[in-house]
Parts: sequence; C-alpha cells; structure tokens
Amino acid sequence: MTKTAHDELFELTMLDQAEDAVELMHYWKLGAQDLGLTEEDISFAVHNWMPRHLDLQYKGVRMCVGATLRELIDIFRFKDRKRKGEDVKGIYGVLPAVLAPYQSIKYAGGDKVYTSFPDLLLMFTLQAWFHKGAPLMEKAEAAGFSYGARHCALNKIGIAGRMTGLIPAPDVMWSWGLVCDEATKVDEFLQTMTDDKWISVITRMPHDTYKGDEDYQLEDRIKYLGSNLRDSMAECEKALGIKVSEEDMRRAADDFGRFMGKIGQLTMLNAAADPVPLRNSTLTIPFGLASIPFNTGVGYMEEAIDILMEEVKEAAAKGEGLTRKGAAKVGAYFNPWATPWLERILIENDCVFIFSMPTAVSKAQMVPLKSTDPHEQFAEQWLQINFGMGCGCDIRNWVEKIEMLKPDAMILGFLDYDRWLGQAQKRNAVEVEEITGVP
Amino acid sequence: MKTPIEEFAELARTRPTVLREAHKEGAKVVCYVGNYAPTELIYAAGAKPYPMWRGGEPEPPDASLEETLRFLNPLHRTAIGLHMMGLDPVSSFADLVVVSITDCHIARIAEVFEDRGLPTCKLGVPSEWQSASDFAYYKNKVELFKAKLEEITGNKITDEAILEQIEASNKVRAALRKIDELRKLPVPPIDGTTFIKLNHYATQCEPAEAVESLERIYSWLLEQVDENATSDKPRVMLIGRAVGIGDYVVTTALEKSDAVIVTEMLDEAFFRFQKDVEVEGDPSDNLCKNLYIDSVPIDNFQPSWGLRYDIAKEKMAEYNVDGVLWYQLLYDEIYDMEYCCYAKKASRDGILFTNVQTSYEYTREAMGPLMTKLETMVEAFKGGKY
Repeated sequence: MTKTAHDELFELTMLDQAEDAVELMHYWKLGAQDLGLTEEDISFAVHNWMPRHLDLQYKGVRMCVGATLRELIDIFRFKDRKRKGEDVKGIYGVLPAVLAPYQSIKYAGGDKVYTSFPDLLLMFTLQAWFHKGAPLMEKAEAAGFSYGARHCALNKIGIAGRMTGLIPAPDVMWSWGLVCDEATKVDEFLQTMTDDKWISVITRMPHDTYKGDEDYQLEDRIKYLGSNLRDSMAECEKALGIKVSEEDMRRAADDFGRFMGKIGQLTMLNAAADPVPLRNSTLTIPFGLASIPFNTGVGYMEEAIDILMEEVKEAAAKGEGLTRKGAAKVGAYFNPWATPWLERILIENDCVFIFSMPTAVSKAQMVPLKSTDPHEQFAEQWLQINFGMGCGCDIRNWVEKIEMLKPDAMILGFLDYDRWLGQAQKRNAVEVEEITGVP
Repeated sequence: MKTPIEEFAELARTRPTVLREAHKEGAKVVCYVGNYAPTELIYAAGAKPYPMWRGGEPEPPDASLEETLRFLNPLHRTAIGLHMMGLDPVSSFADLVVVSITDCHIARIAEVFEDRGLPTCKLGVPSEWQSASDFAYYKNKVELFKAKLEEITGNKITDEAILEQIEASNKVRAALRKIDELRKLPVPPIDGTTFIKLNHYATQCEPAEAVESLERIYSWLLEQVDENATSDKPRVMLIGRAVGIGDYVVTTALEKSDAVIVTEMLDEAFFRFQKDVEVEGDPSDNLCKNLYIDSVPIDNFQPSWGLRYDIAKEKMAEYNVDGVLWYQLLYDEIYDMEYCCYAKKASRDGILFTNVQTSYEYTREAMGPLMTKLETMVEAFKGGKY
C-alpha cells in the first residue's frame, strides 16, 4: 500500500510506533483537515521544511516532535469529545505562565479535564513546522486585530483559531497577564467577538518594582501573587468541579522544576560543544514542556529529552555539529523559532544560536524556594524567571547567562512589538554590552 | 480685553514659572504621569503637583526612541522625550515623579525615568479592579506614595490636611460639572476642545485658583447661552486614552468641520470630575475609592469593556450625541482591541462612529487625509448614516 504524507509524518516523528498509533492517526487526519493542511502541505513539511530547520538526525529530536504532535492531535480529540457531549471540561491558558498550577489541575481532574495553551501549540506546529500560520494571522487581522497596531502574532493565531472554530471554546480560560497586557485582554476580546461562553479567570500584577529589586526576594510580592493564584485556582476548581490537592500541586511543581533543570542542562551541553549540535529552533521543542501544560502528560517529552541529552553528548564527543569548529556562537533574547529560516541564514553563514534567554536557566531559578505554601511556591517560581521579574532584573540575568554560556555576540530585537519584553532588548543592550564586553 | 478663558489659560501657562520660584524658596514639586496618584495628598504634604500630560508634538516621542521601544504610545514617549530634550519645564527640578503603573507602556516609561536618575515613585495600579485584594494592593501603594511625600517634605500628612484638600478638589469638580452641564444644551456655549483645555488648566494651578477661574468662566458662558437657539451641528462624543495637554489638533479640526464635542470618556490626562470624593470616613480610603472603584474603569482594567460601552451609551443619551469619535494613540494595542469590540457593539446598536489614530505627526501631508476623514464623518453624522 502506498504511503500517504500522513504516514510519512508519523514515521518521521515515530508516532507510528506508538501503542495508540491508529487512534492518533484518526484524530490527526481530522485535525489536519481543520488546520487546512493538505497532503501536499504535509509532504512539504516532511521532506523539505522540517529537515531544513530541525536536527532530525537525532532520535531524541524526532521523539520531541512526536510528543508535541501528539499534544496537537489531542486538541482534536478534545474537540471530538466535546462535540459528542462527553464529560470533559477544558481549561486553557496563555503564555507566559508557570505551568505547575495548570498541571496540578490536570493531575486532579484526570481524563475529565483537558489542559492546553492552544495558541502556542499552533504556533509551535502549524507555523514552525508546516509554515502555515499566516492564513490564521490574516484571519485575525480581518476580524479587526489590526496589523497597524502591531499586535502579537501568537495572540493573532489564538484569536483566529477560536473565531474560526478550529479550537473549541474552553470551559475555563485562566489568563496570566504578568508580562504583557494583551495576552489577558485577548480573553475579553474573544468574550465580545464570539458567541461562546466560558468562565474567565484572570491573574495580573503591575510592573512596579524598582531597579535593583529581585522580585523573588520581595515577600509582599510573593504573598500578593500567591494569594492571587490561590483565588484563581479556587475559581478554576469551582468551574471545573474538581479539588486540587496539595499533593497534586507538589507533584506539578516538582515536575516543572525538573524540566527546567533538564532544559537548562541540555542548553548548557549544546552551547559548550564545538561545533554546536542543535539548532535553537530544535532546542525550543523540548522547552514546550515548560511552556505548555501537556494534556498528554510529561512522559513522552521527558523520555525524548533524556535520549536527546545522550545524543548531544555523543555528537559533541565526535565533533559533529551544525558548522565548522570555531564558528561564531550567538545568543538571542528570543530565538525566532517560529520563523526558523532566520536561524538557517545564520548557520549558512557559519554562525549559530546557542541559546535564547528564556530557555537558559538563571541562578535565581536554582535558588531553593522559601515558601511553604504551594500557591506561594508557584508565585516564587514565577518571580524567579527573569521576565517574571520587574524592572532592571533582566540586566543582571542577562549578564549572568552571557557569562555562563559565553556567546561571541548577542542578537536582539526579535519580538520587539511586545510592549514589555520588547523594550528590554533596546534598553538593556548598551548596559549589558558595557558589563560583559559581548557585542 | 481677555476673556476669562484666556485668563485661565495664562494662569496655567505660567504655572512652571511659579513652581520654579516656589521650588527655589524650598517648596517641593511633584510631577505625575497617569491619573492614579491623588494630588490631594501632594497638596496635603505641602508640596506642589504638576501633570506631565503633554502631547501633540512629534519631536519628543522621536527623541525618546534612544531608550524606548517605538511601539510605546506617543503620549508616554512624550513625557520622557520632553525630559530628554530638556524641554519639560518642571521635571528637571522635580523632587519626585510619581507614575501610575496602569499598563506596560507607562511601566516602561517609569523605568526610563528611573534610569535617567529622576526620583521616581512607581504607583502600581492592578487591573482586576473589582477584586478586594487588588484594591488593597493599590491602597498600599498609595500609602507608600504618601510615606514618600512625607519623607521629601518632612511634613506629616494628617487626615485633617487630606480632608481639607479633598474639599478643595471637590470644589474644582463641582465647578467643572457646572460647565459640563451647559454642554447638554442644544447649542452649547463651549466647544469640546475648550472644555478639555479647561480641564487641563484646572490641573495646572492651585485648586482655589481653579475654582475662582472656573466660576468666572461659568458666569461668562451663561451670558452667552441662547436657550432658543438650535443647531444642526452633529454632537460628538470623544472616546480614547487621552488628549494630551497641547494635543488639540484633531479635536479642533473636528469642531472646525462643523461638529461639536459635547462629552468625552478619557482615561488619562484628564481630571476626573464626575464624582466627588466622599468626605465621611477615612480620607485616604475615600481618595483611593474615588479613583480606583468609583471612576469609569480604564481600558486596561479587566473586565472593563462591557461596562465602558454601557457607560458610553448612557452618556450618549444624556448628552444627545449623534456619533462617536474614537481617538486612538498609535500603537496603543489594548485600545485598538477595545475599539474592535466597541465597533461590533456600536454597529449592532446603530451607533455612528469612526476612529482616528494619532502619532502626533500633524504635518500638512497628514492633515489633508485627516481633514477629509473628519469632514466625511461630520457629513455622515449629519445624515445619520455613517
């Protein structure tokens, strides 16, 4: 029997070997239809786009792609369950957030709760791997989310996904607005622009700390955010009809800490190698586990990360990598993984991204949590991340990461439309360059 | 002979000079950006407030680009841009700059103030305005601001002093309300641009001076009222983040196109006068409630858009409005989203509206299309079918 592009995609991502491969294929085909992906589009991704932008020679990478694809497929399984009226409730969130609260909800709710950040999942897959995000972004613009106002592309994908019915409405939308304003306001936008009904839970906090403050050391800040998270969690529990235990929360927090540790380790291994084995567009895939609360669980991706770490060590020992030995290594504030051809251009010019600020773990993130209350622990975890902190902290974090990972240069300016994070790239550049000497 | 409005304008214009002189003699000067720092506290501490609300010129936002993102709105970039250019008349000798942190735009601007060595106080204003814990957060930030004022002035801020200032500011509110009432007449004796200017002037002088000027203006306006007069000029409501001090080009152009702005819903750079601050109870608490809970929630509060739409609709009925001009600052992404939602509801309700965005580039090339848009809008409002 002739292989279809769908079969080839499953082979490439090793989903064909999964126990539930038949079921996965069923939902994938439904999903591909909804996503507007033709056989030709999938074939292009399998034979052209993905091999050109991801390091698919490594089994760990193919497994990471498979784990993410499995998560994408799960949206369509959820959609089907909702359509059939099954007893399942969905909770969505938006980037960036500490995932542990969402994961603890998943642990508490089991199969009766579906968790996801569908906008980010679509960006990870539809845009980055199939190069087909633009039609959705155009739909958001046509709906009034105008190009001229320089809105966030991620929010555009999320809005269009919802407004077109590609993504089913959740039962609860828990939006964290701890970085930008737009992400949480998308909820209010969709509440007005669609006829769907869901419960909105909002967690926000003003950017009012001072240069020199370290947010995770400010007790009142931890307490305020912890209390906010506690209230938000209670709203989610009520809406979903579940009770999240301390054990669920502890398990989720441990998971999150463990992934961040592994991702940090992988980043370090890769950055230290010469030549560098993995593109940053590849490194971003395992980071998905720290960016999206996987409804399908953490096991698939974690297994893939463990294998990938061994493969990277092996490649480094053999001197195998993306460029010649001694090629320039650069870091980015945000690696442009959704537009992976930018990284390809760098590699073709014998230069390689070795890290992206968010995927590099800072010393602050390694500081043991002081709080004993689980909600305050979530808050503390968030406030340890450099973009979870307020003004000025990012400079110290940048310096720390640059000194640790030793890039030859930094490339800044990606995602410059973000009213909070974009500004840091401009404001910090001069100061960080002066301190580190890295251009 | 000058009209009372011109005299009031003159008073406001000379305010920076007055502040400079007062500062030389030991008075403390506190600049403020945004609307959530109660000026009553500044006066109660014996200091002098000054609003950094200017807008309407293209150079200051451009000048700020050395340190700011170009996608921050031009109003806030103006605040820092003027300071960077050495053109802000007060910030260079300010003893404190208090910034109401309501969103990312203003938060990043506060950071640049801080980096530039200005004595900056960040007053966090949480967006979940209906939550008790967020009110407590805001109130705590106001208390910290109060403590900072006490520190720089060396004066203890007593409840009595706050109450005295609340009573003074309530008189300004009442005076503005009286004038605002005249805008409900079929032929208002004051246009919208002038009313917005009066509001701005009122923040640029002492409350007692403002009350005296506004009372004289009210009497003068009353003399000009012809209760039998009629007009076919479309009556417009203005909605947006802000008309900065000096940013009167669009509103003036609209009113020159034979329309009149009879009411507005502005979030910033506008002294809120609709509701008095309560005088019974804890005065600090009353100030916070007035600004945070009792005022129209700003666009970035959450949730707010549904309520804001309803409030705007009520005002349209109250002021007999024919259509709405949504006045948007360039790159103000949350207002852009709200506009989209507003447009959906307004279309459903048969409300006439249009949107004008400004980058403060009022060149001849920009004014041509703008005038055409405004004139078309006015004609459509007249015909009731925009």
